[in-house]
Amino acid sequence: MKIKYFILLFFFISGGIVASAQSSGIDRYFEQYKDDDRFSQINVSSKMFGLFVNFELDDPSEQELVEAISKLKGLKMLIGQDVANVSDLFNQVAKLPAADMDELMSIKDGSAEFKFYISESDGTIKELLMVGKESAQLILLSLVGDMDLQQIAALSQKMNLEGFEHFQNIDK
Amino acid sequence: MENIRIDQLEQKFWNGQTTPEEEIEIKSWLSSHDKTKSKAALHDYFQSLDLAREKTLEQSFDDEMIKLIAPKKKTFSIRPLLRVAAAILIVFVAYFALRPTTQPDQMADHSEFVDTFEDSERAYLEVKKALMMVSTNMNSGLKHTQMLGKFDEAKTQMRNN
Repeated sequence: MKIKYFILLFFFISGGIVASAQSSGIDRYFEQYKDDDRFSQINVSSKMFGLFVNFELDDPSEQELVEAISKLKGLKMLIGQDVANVSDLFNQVAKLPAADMDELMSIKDGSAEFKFYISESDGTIKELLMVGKESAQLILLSLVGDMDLQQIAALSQKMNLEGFEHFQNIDK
Repeated sequence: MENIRIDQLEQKFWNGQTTPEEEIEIKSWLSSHDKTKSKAALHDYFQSLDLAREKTLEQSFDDEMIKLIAPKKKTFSIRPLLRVAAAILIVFVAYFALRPTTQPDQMADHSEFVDTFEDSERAYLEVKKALMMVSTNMNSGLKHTQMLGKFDEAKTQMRNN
């Protein structure tokens, strides 16, 4: 009888731990590759985002950008250059968010492929995750905060920035 | 002669060597003779046997015996339920204490890690680049849905014409 209790307890706890492990799968990749020379990692915390609203900008389009940014609470990005098994890695990583997040969009254009996932709460998008690959480059981007996707989508059209499709390497 | 006989029987009796017939003989002699000093112990012993034989059991004795030997009814015990409840409580507490927070509001802080840039202007520029990348890629997907919208418009116009 006692053994039955312990077996039941074991399965309950294991189930809980497995479920929690799956939900933090994306974070695993951020941790795993942070010291890999092929990968650049960018972290911007909510405290840093709080400083952006104090910027004085003359360009109205920049003001719109700051407005979009002001509601964000964090950014985590991982960019891998010259990743040999980029397709396999992309397929692995792209599967993970499906358990906790809703797939918003999937784009495939030649060698480039991007997937967008979102997490909603009370009708507001709280997290946007982008997983992308192009040639031998892998991109993993997580944005958290209150997001207006239409506003974000309009940014690139209004600002007309060139050369910002891909990130440059950042010296750590 | 009779006295010698009874003395012999008494001796044998106290030694535990008498036969049942001899004990009947002793009892018969005692009932026909008055109690004497020499035979007082024998008289008292057989008298106590007679008294004990007369005793009967009361009904309450039967009742008490039946109560002792009857199978006990199973009474409901709350202890096993308490054990199960305690085990479930431990599991829930362990699960909620050990799992990482996955709620969007709690994840939204992102302050548990160190900023890559100390300079806010540099950080702003990188955030801008990141948003542009997201925006550009989203637009490349959205433009195809816009084409579908145009197709719908054309269909409506044709219907109206």
